[in-house]
Amino acid sequence: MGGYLLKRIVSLLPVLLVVAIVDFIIIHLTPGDPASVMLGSQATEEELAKLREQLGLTLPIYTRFFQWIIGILQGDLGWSIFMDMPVTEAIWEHLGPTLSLTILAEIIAILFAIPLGVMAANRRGSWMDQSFMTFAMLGISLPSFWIGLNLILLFAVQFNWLPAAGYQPLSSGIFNHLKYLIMPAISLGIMQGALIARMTRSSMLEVLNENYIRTAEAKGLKMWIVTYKHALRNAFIPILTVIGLSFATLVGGAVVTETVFNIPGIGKLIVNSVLRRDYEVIQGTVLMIAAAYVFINLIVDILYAYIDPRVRYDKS
Amino acid sequence: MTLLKVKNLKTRFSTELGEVTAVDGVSFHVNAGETVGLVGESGCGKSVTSLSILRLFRKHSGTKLAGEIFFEQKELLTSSMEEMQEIRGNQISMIFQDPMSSLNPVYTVGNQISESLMLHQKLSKKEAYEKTIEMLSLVGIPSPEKRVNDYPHQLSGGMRQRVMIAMGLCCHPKLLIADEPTTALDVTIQAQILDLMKDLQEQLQMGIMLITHDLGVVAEVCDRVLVMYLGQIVEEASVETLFENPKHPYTIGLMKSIPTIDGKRGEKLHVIEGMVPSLHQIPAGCRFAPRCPFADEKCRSHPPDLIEVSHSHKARCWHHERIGIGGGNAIAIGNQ
Ligand SMILES: Nc1ncnc2c1ncn2[C@@H]1O[C@H](COP(=O)(O)OP(=O)(O)O)[C@@H](O)[C@H]1O
Ligand code: SF4
Ligand SMILES: [Mg+2]
Repeated sequence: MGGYLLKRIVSLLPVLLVVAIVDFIIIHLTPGDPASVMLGSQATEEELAKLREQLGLTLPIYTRFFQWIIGILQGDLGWSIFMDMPVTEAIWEHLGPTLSLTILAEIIAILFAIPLGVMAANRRGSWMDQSFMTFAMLGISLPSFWIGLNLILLFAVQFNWLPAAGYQPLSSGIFNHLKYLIMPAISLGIMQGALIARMTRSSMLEVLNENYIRTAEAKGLKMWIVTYKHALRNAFIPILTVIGLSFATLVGGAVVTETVFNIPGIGKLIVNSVLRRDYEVIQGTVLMIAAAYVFINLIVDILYAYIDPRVRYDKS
Repeated sequence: MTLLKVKNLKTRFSTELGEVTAVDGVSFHVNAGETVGLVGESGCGKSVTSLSILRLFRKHSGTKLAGEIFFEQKELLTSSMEEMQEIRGNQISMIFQDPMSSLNPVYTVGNQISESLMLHQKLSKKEAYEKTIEMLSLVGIPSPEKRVNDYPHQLSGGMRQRVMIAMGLCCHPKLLIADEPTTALDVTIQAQILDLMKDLQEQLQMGIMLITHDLGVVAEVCDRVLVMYLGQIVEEASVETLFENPKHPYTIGLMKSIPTIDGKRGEKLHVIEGMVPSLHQIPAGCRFAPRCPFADEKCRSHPPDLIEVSHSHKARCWHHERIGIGGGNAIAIGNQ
């Protein structure tokens, strides 16, 4: 187990390095002069040159890259010119809302998706299974902003039960926090839940045909033990993969949903920084998202090993 | 005492090509303490017969069961799911054909055995764990107190089959159904496992239904034999009678497939010509006619019944009087 873990972690380092290089190159090859964007069209050539000097834009590109990397290793992602604060601080400020939203959406998705997917697989071909499949298909095809807008119309405009948009941090009280997050979380959770449920169903269908399921039934075990103890754990690897992916996607910022509900999360930070040409923020945020992907993947790998002993032993 | 009595069992599956009857009117019984062999080539319906007894088909698979199955006084096909769960693994145990895929890969073997003990014998976790180690040692697994914490993939095929046997026997069932329990194993282990089953049978007065395609195994351990072909029983007799005086050409064909003493075990010396037909194309007359050296017009058009040819010896062949083995070298004679 320890060996397996170490191997996984070491294999992540080159991935992160490649991501950092690509991230840097893309941002720096994008046409547009940050200095002129920031100073506006009235700026004189002199002012522009001075700012470029200040921003380090006159240095050769590889020098800038190494400066950036060295900064990262010291926990410094750069400086936001527009917000006039360190990039790490800007990210930190926007991370809270995104994490809250992601976790809540994922909890909603998993809570419904797994039991429903399992039930559908157990009753394969029944009306329940078929209507489930239709709803899951619908959940995947409906855009989350559309669901979000309808939720707003219904619960905020029509009934006036929930605030239409905005965000309140957890420190303002859990109830208040959830009041603002529940609608965006549902509109995100439906899509993710539909994906997870479909994977649960198909993975369970496969596992239920396995011989060891018949062995479990031949022991006289109750149906729910056969399903949840013997089948689900075996079916869980592909389900976990989908959950990990969906989590990573949401952490990367649910740009549209954050915009619809006006939530100051990572998605909004990226959009605003792109509009403002706040390069160091974009660069830092992209790197942070990539690191989050890698980290979530690592967690998923660890969970694989926990769920399936063959992963634990074979690869050590 | 009759433990199991199966009457006119029919098992139908719906497939893409239409419905098939994999087991078609099978009747037999197993007494307490007795070992009954069920033999036939692969695909004849042996496994389906055994799965039908415990009704181990998925609810939505469209499998239909008909007939009657009495276990002691209880009719199984009309029993509720709860009643079946009470019998499964407790009164009737099954050992499955493929030990590689029949154990759950994500739980230790100890977990999988003690699960049965906690369920049926109401043992505590600790008691079940101790009993599990005892069972593992009983089936000849070395250092059972270590192996109990192993996962199936850490064990060899022979060890896994022993685990399956330990699992099948741990609740002292009255009837053990063993589906090709030794096919995947090499000869020495095969013999060990068969001996073990016989030993336990004597201790527990257990009835055994032993499914195999190997008549050599039957000769070693069975009291009575059922020969199955394409979903039907074609011959039934005591072991002695069957080997001395087989009355069905299919049985004789199977016997010729038994390797001789000097030939290596598992090396088939003779194979019955042709293949088992598909369930979608069951011959109109005798089901064995397309492969039978004695088939005539009557055989091809009229299906024979399973009839008593002598005391407790049944065969399903129009020409059973003219069929037998000659010269002690297991060759069918037919004076057509
Ligand atoms: N679930 C199923 N659906 C359709 N056909 C099946 C099913 N299970 C078994 N069969 C068919 O029933 C026949 C008997 O199979 P089986 O009992 O496994 O043979 P064997 O004697 O080798 O154990 C085979 O033709 C097999 O293809
Ligand atoms: S009935 Fe005819 S075809 Fe069938 S086994 Fe007997 S001799 Fe052969
Ligand atoms: Mg079989």
